[in-house]
Amino acid sequence: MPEAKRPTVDEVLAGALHTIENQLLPNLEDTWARAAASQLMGTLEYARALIAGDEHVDAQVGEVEAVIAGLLREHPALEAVLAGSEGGTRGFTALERASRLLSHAVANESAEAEAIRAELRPLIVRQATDTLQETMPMLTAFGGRPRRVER
Amino acid sequence: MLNVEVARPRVAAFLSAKVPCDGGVEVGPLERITIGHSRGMFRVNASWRRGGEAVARSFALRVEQAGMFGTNTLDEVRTMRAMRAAGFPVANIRWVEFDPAVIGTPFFLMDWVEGSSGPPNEAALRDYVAKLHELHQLDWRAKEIPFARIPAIPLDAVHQQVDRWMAVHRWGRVLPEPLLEEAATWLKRNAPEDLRLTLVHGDPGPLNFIHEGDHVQAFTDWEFSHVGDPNEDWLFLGGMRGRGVMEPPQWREYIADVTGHVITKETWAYWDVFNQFKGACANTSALRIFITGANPAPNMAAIGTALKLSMTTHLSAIIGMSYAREGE
Repeated sequence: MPEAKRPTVDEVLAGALHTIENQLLPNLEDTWARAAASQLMGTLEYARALIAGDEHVDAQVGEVEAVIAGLLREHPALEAVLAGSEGGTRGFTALERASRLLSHAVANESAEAEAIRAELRPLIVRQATDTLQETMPMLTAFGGRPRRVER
Repeated sequence: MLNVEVARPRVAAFLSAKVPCDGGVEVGPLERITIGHSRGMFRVNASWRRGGEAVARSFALRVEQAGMFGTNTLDEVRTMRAMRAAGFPVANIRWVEFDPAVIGTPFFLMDWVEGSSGPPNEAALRDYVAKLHELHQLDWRAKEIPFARIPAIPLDAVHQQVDRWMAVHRWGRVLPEPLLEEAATWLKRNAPEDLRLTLVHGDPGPLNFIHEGDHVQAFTDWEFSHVGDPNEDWLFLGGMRGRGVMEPPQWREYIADVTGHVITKETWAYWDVFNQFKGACANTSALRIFITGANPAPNMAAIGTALKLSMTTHLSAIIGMSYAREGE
């Protein structure tokens, strides 16, 4: 296992959080500045969670690609819905295709549309919920009330 | 992002060129007004001498933030001036500057309106709701308000606004968001049948009006205004911005009580989805503004990610329930 340079990114971020909360915020009186300091703490907490987990979207993209591939195997006619949906990156293409399929399902009542709603939509909703949870520290801090830093 | 110390002498120089005065205008430290994220808002306390007499005035400085929410100063100023000319309570805009060389971004200066944008008392809240209803009754065709888009029929207005917000979202996004693309189609397919065409403020509610005592002094934040269905405003007020005052079911009753305008539960649910969609799309613009460094403040990161996603998951739950009802 590679040995990390010290201090690590997480240690630097934790130190920054602690400094904002205990040294800067107590001396800030301006309301906007206090809100910005709290919001900054939220982004730093998000950054800590991000570097501790997965910074990339590839796993989510892979899940979307797999479900879409299954839908196309079961319902080859859906290929027509996806014509011209190639994007500049693998992630853009997969999510553009998912967008096309969800929109198609809104406007159609068919076995294909039902399959999209049953198989693809729950995955997309779950991924959005997961990402919301990941970014939640920023939302919690948005109103200007910082939480205690957990070290 | 405006640096107030850099901007202060520039605002003073700008005012010195605009205000008849003996020897230039002095400007005190710019005071950030702690509401709103679409624009930077500052109180400018200015003083000068004219004919030997000392003059002191306060102005509100409103500055653009790199395309935040897909809106611009020109449209906002045109609308505000037209609404003021129509007799609606709107601050008087003194000067507009589009040249970014002056302070780094387009801006305008309004006369300072005394009052509070904080929680209103019951009488002021009632006055606000009544005035919003009055806005919806104005003959917008006669007022010649220079909106970029004028719908031909009510359904056209829905499609225009869905397309407008989807364009803002696509400008700001990094990757496609399937739930917002789905919502755009759902909104067009499920529009209510009893649509009307009226003036729509677009962003009504607490913090976006100034009140003093029992009365509204000014409606603010006009950058979302357009011609559309008034229920868009009522749901923005009762379903989103006004939730700190009372919960949506109470708002529905309150609006009916004050204005006589009754909103069915089905219509309420539709415009709830619409406004969550509008909010999510608008908020996506903050992501681009943050990651490009145009405004790297942490509120931009939060708005462009978490706040947007909270709205996206909210509207997708309502659309999911509609699928479940259809399947029963």
